[in-house]
Amino acid sequence: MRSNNGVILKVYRAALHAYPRLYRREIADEMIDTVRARAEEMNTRGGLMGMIRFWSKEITAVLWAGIRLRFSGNLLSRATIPEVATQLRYDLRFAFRSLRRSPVFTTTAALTIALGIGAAVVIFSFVNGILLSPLPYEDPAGLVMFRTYGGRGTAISEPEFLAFRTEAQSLETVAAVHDVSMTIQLGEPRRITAMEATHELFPMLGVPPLIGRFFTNEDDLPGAAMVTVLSHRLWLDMYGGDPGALGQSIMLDAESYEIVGVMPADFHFPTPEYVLWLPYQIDPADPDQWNNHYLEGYARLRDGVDLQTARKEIIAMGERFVAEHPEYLENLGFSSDLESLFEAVVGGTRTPLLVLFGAVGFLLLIGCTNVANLLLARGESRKQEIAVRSALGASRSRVVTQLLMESVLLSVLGGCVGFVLVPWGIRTLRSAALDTIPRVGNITLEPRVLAFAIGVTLLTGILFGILPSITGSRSDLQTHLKEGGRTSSSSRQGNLTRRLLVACEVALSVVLVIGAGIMLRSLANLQGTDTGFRTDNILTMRISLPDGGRDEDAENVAFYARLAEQVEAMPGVSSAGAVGRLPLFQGIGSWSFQIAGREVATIGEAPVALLQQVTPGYFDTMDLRLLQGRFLEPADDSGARMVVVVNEAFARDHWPNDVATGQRIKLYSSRLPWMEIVGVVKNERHSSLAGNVRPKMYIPHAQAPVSAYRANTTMNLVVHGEHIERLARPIRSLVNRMNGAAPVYHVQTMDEIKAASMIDRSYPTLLLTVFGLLALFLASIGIYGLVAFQVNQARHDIGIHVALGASASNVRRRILGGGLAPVAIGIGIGLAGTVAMSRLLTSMLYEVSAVDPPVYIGVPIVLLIVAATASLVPALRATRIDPVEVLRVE
Amino acid sequence: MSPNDPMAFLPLTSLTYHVLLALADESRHGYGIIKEVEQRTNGQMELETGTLYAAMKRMRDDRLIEAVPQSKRPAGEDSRRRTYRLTPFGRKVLKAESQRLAHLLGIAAEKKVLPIAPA
Repeated sequence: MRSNNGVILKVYRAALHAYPRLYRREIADEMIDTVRARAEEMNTRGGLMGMIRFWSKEITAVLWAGIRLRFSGNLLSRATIPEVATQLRYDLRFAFRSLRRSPVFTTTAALTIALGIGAAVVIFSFVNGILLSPLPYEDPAGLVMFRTYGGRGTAISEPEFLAFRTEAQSLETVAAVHDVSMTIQLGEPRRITAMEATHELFPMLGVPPLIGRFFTNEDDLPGAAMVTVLSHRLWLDMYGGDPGALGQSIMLDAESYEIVGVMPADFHFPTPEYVLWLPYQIDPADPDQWNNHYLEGYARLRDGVDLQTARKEIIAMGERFVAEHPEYLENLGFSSDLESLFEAVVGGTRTPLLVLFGAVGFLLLIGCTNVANLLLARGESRKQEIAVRSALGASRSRVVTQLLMESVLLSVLGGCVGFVLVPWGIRTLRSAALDTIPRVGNITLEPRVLAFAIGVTLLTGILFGILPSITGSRSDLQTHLKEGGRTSSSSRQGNLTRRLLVACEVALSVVLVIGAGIMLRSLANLQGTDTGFRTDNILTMRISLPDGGRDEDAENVAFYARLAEQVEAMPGVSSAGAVGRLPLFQGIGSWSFQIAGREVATIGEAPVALLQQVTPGYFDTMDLRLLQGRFLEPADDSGARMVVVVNEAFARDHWPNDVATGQRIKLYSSRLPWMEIVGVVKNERHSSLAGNVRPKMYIPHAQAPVSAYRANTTMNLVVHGEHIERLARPIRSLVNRMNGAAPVYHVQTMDEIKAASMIDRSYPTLLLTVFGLLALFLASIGIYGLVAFQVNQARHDIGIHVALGASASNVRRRILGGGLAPVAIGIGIGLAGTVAMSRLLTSMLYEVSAVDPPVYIGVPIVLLIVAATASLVPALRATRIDPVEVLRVE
Repeated sequence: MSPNDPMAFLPLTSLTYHVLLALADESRHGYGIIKEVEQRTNGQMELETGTLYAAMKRMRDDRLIEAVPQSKRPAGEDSRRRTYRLTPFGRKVLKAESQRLAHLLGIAAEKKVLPIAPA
């Protein structure tokens, strides 16, 4: 302990510097002596923890007491609160007057700060609303979501749900949901998104209905009465908020449901998209198959169980499922896991948001260095004023306080201007984000955001003001009064500070601009990805025919064939078709299938591929490229030979060295017929631009009732032509005339769909680019300011140089060098910093390295060009300095 | 408010009062004051050295306490350990504060908050 005390005593001695100097000199030894005696005493009494507590208390105390001692004199002369207030008022008035005297400086500085603070507050409101506030459910930390691999997305199957519900020890409740799209009659047919949920869901979330009840145990058994719970929005739309809605029945997809409850207005689960809930009926005695993964599973952890423990159990259960049901699960590579609900909801947004938050922080820092430099330059010209004030008796700390007051006032001005822009900024960013950002409704100007705004404003003021006020208050009375404001050694030191600040600002800009550059490269790569289909001049819309069961399949098929035909006949349309699942917009299910000659015994061993139902016009409209065989044709109807077109990935997977056309496949079921592969098309991206392309089958919509159980009642119409946006209205009325009960929705162009599919990448990229450009702009102002100031300071020297025969190019080179040296240093630091931080971007990049050479080389060149341009104007001005004039001022 | 008027200092902070009280019967060095306060309060008040010396600076500036001149210290005592004592003015302030507290305790006794009135 003795030697430990030696180190800690050194720390204590250092902390003693908080005490005023004179007093410290007098009592330091005595205090060390006392504290050492106390420490030895504690050591015998308290042990190690006691020692740690003792020293942390002692060191905090000496710091705190010392600082207080500096600011208050003796017991009587300690400034009272009213006195401090008077002084502050005086300083404030003084700061106001001083800022008003230089309106150009004040405006420039305040706008710079406004920009930084405004951007920081807007991004913080996103961070706050999305990442910092808890989910709006009871004890949200205990809510988890199932994550499975090998099935569809992260979904679980009915038998898995039942097993988790009854067997998982670490879970208190387990609920399963499934989303469905339904047609509701609201004046005209409207398509809504509904959620089928087991009765555990709402009690688990801890949100009671506003009126009525939620589902009971009986509601989700097969054969129970059809009931539904409405969202607040749908309740208002349909019943104007009348509680009498309870007990009434509504028609959903031609079925009648009784309304048993209405949820409160602010309830969303998991997103506001779901406007209605139905019981998910499941028969525990006869569940669906193990490999039918289509339920989203949610659960609440049992009290006192942590996520890691629960995960272990669920992972083990998943392994058991595979061992017990290999025929279903083994080939899928199935495994199960848990994730916190919070993570499931916001997980993907965390990195981009934090990167953006870091970026605005940098922007604010760049703004601060700019303003600090302005203040330093201003301080230079105020040396005399300060010297006079000191001569009249103002203490150093008074002068520092007054100068700091000025910068805080400046920052408050900037903060106010910036804050005015915040609501606009939040609105703009919220609407630009479309639906891709989770919890967007939660992004508001709430108290925590206001507190952040105030805090960041004050901190900014102190940050950019502290250095200038300390250097500015350093006054050497004699020199300043005597020299009348000309360059002195102290202002040379000031020049060094200014150059360092510019170097910092350039370094920060390099990081931002390179970050933006790499993100832009990634976005360009994504944009340039071959989708495999045409995206321009394509109009799409979704149509849902009432589902009349298998009996109406023929009518359904005829409807879409006729619709495509009639749309094709419209002026301006070159082709039209229909497709079950729209690429880049809709998820798509995969099916197990058999290959003739390679039949397998169980579904678990069968290969899987995505299944798409299309009308023949789809291929032409989307301009898919044919690699082998032929496209589907109108003649491929239910009476003809069953056919299928597959994509390149499918053909390569199963016949890498052979032609796929002519081979026969069938969907996995003994009852379904064999289909002949008649064509192979080039891969089409489906789920996203960035993902892997999976094997896909295209079957004729007309043959689907025979070859795939049913033909889709919901199809997407795709239309290629000129001025497609003008076609939406006539096509909608055409559909209405053909079937008045079929809603038309999701009307959008393929270009819009493609842009929306990239928005999770393009959005942060765009913001980062804006921040990068602002940084570049601020840095160029900073460099210009530095060089202009240096020229001004050195007028005298330059005059003499010119008088002694220095050429214009000599002068120019000297000035440019003075401006570019800190830029070069800043670029070096910035590059090193970027390499260190590039790891953060990796997860957001597509086919570009986080250390991408072209960007790392290009950005410094751009910065050097910007810096040279910014330095050129003052450098040219320097060459025009007339030595006679400068020397005459002497 | 005259610095020569003991009443001007009232009420004292509990720290100041304890330090004055510790020095009422004899002069002590810093460590001694800490120990005395700790013992008198049954360990409830543990002073940090930094806090004590900051308070003592103010008390010295206000002439409530003073350092005992080197010559008057007992022989053989560690020369680094300066001892402190009350000034006559400090004693007056201590007395004034004690009377103020006694008065308050009297009221508490009258109102049956305390069982007996202090002497």
